[in-house]
Amino acid sequence: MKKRASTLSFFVLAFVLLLYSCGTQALPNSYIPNSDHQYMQVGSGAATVQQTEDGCYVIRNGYLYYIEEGTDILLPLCSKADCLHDKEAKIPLLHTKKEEQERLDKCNACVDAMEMDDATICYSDGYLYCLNPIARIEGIGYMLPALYRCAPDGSQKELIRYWSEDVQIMDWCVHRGVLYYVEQKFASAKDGVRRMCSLYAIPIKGMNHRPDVIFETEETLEVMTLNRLACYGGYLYCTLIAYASGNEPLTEENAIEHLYRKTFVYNISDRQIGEIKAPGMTKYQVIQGLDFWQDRIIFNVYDYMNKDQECAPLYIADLDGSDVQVLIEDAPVQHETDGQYLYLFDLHTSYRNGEDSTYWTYNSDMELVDTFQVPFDSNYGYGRALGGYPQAYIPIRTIQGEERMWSLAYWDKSKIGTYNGGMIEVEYITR
Amino acid sequence: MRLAAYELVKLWQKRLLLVLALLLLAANLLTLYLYEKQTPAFFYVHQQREDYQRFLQGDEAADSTGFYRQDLDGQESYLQTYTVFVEEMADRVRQMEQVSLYADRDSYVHRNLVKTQADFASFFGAAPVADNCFGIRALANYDGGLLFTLVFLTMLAYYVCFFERDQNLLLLLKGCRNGHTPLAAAKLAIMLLAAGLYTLLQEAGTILLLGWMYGYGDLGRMLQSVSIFRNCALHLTVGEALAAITAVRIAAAVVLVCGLFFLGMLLKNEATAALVFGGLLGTEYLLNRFLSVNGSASGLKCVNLFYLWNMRSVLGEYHNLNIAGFPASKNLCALLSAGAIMLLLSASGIIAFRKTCQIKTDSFLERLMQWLRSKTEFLNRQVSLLYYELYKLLIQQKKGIVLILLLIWGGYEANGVFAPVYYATAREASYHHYIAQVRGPVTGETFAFFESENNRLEELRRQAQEVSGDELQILLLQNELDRLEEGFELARIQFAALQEKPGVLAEKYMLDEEAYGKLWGSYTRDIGLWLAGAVLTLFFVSGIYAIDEKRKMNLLLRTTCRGREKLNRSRDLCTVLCTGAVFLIVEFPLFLRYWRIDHFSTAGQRLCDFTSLMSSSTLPLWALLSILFLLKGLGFLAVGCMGLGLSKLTRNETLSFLAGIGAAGMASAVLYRLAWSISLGLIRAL
Repeated sequence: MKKRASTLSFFVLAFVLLLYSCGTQALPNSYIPNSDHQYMQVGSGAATVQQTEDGCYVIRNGYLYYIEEGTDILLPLCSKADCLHDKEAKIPLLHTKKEEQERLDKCNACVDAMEMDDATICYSDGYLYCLNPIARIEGIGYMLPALYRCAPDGSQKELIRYWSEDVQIMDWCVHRGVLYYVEQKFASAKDGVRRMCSLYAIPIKGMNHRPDVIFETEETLEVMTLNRLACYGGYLYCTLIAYASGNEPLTEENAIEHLYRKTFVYNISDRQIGEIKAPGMTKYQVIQGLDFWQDRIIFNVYDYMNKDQECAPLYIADLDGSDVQVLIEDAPVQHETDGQYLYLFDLHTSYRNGEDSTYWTYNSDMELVDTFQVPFDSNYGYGRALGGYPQAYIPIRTIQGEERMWSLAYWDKSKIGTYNGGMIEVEYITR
Repeated sequence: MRLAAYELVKLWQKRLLLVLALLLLAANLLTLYLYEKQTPAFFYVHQQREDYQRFLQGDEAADSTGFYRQDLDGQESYLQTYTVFVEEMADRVRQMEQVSLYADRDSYVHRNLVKTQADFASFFGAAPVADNCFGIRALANYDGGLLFTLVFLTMLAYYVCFFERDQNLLLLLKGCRNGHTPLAAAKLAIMLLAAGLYTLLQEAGTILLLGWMYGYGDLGRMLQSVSIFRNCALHLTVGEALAAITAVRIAAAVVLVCGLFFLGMLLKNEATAALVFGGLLGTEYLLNRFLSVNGSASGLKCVNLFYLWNMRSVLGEYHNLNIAGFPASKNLCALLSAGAIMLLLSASGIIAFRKTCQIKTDSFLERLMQWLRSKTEFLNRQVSLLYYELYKLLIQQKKGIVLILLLIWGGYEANGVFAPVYYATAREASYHHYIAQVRGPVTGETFAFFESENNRLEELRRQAQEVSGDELQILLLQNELDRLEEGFELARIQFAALQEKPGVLAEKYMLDEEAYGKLWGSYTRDIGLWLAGAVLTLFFVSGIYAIDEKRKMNLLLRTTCRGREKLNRSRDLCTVLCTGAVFLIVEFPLFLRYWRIDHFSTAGQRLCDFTSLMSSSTLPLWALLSILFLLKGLGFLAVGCMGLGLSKLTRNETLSFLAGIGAAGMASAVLYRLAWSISLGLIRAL
């Protein structure tokens, strides 16, 4: 009897352990489509385009749109036939909170009744998440920073979290079922105004839980920003730019000495924070352009003492920042990846010289496969995300007279290899 | 049948209920009138109705301000878009069907598209007409009648279900020749009849009042002629819509009364029943407030008392619920749900009446309190009448528990006042930073500070413009400017405006006007606090006279040695103490918020010297705040006196409590609608 009981206990325990291990099987440190953060859509700040296998979601002027691959119809993401979506009459500047809420309730595609351009999106596990980040400036709107979850067919839109009026959400992403976001707030102190940033994590299906604090900026730092949030595999990355001035006031001369700019890597499973560094980095050199290539990270180093550098080494390292090696010795200072190709370019120099920039394209074997130029503007010398592969959707903004227009540039990247320095062909899709 | 007739007679003899019902009907009309009084339509359409009538007949000169023309132009513009809205629906659907998201014919979204198109197809070629829409718009925006209906239904439920039980008559009444069911059914029938009749009278009064004030125009025109009903897929005229919303509200009242009947039959304790009912109502309210029609729980939003009471939601919104993958009209679902709930609750209530013993029971809380009292008997060696009034109130009626909870809440709120303060923008933070540097009387140092800081920021701006190529410098300078510039500009403008005010500058103060403005401007919190305080005060006070009546102690108490006057004085004092305690606990956190701004160091500032207020009063800030809290205290006292008066008059705790809530609720609803609080009102009056 005793033997039978202990045998039974053993099997029950083994079964429970088996179930537990199945439930907590570690996900791979590679990109999982439709679940992971779409790093290839991020330019400066969170993404306004998210791609799926069948098409692409876009957010512009407070409205969500969907475009199916192979079509040129930009459809508001609202399944209601009795709704005019973005063609409804605009809400006047003098309006009530109720009117703003009614507009949000009326249309599933509308996430900002005032049609501002601050909201960004993230697609994960079958839902489209949309965050309206900035607390309303008095007199323009009433809504607080809010996160919406939208059904992929536009049939539902739910407010799943909102923040109080004393914070701004500076950056965010949804990665493998977890919402990561950077909260910024200001405090008024005797010696000045202090900016504080904190990085939080909260399961996307457990919004009523208290968020976990991953990182908080120290009070001794003069924080400028905590941003460039990115996730890949089991790691999260962010960049903190601040000054550690101590007691002496910051001046032109001593600013460089007190510069505090670090790129952090956070191991999601171990909850450990580390720092990305290149070998031999001085205190005047900082990591920039962190991106992902071949399940590793790539970055280059910016030298404040040599600001006019046109070329610099491009480094590659493991996702946790270890095993740093030089990938390309003299690479142009800017780069983008889409998982298939690595693109190198230098928009700063081209913008200064008033010329179009050339994009050098490398495959996974680091062979130069093509060079091309792009027909859209250089975004004032800063790169824009070149989208996914094999089809890319790139949001373009143009100014016609006093009106800001926007369109989506569709680029069939399967033609890479044929451009030979020429202009890529894109199709502009407008609403 | 005879039982129902007797129940009706019994109810008819409850003169107090009839009087209260009339008062509630009047209060509803008064509330509606006060709501509308603040709208432009009241002035231009009601008070200048002759001008409006002349305009409708074609006399453009009657429209001296352009108000009528603007409204008519808006309607005509809408009518053109309506045609587009209906006629292009098919094109919109066709475009959507080209995308695979909506192309699957077996998916809910596709079926919903088809149903929507079919529902609106009959409006193709319809001819909506522009006409007087002020009446129907006002009716659609008014749903304050729900409060009065709830108060009436609760009082009705008390009289029908609890009154006889409290008098221990129900056991006797249950000895019917034909069994218990006919009695329960009779009570239910009377409750349904009374609820329906009251709601009908209330809604009819509302419709007639608005018809008298504004008119409805041609009642035969299609409802979709009114822009807020653009998405209505029902073929209703304006007249039929008025009847429809009345019917919906009567149905909602009937379902509510079934719920009250069920609770009244099942729960033998009226306090427990009130708590459960209040909890359910609160849940319904929160579901309506926080759920969206577009969310996954849209069913809970649409089949909801508060949603259904709102005319714009019921008739103006088109939405289908997903029932097993097929779209079903929300109104149809609500109707079927209401019917099912009504039947279920009615049947359950009758069964509960049959199966359970109908005597009042003590709840767990009461048993706990009895145990506690037995353990604390040594405290009762007192001869003070006031002590015993407080004892009856706080211990015997268990209201001390609420007081303790209130104290805990007050402590939590007071603690929260001292939490670190953060701001979303650098503008706000820097404004408060600069004001903290210069707050106090205006002196030469104030001038010097602004000058030096202005020079410093100018220098930073100059450096930022001159620096080129040095990214770090630009970053540093821009960061400093971004953090401080806007807030400094606000503070500087305030200082400049202060200098332009008449009077001696040295007698003026620089103070945090934004912080004061924020406290004065948060009327929702003010009204919410006042309403919560009023409800608590009524809760405490309503039982002071009623408890003695209930326990048949009145005759005994009348034989006091120094006369009844001393007894009544002790009761009045008890009322004042309770009211005072509630006032202090509720308002103390607000007082702390004022104190936290600058510890009243700038309380000498006159109102006319506030740059953000259009006031010419020379009253100093400390006097304003004193009057403010005094008025709030008087407000609470008024509620306490009202509650005491009602308790004296009705000798019934539940009735006086409900009647008091009705009055306080009405006042709050009007104040909320007008976006008015004591602070704002006082400042405007000064």
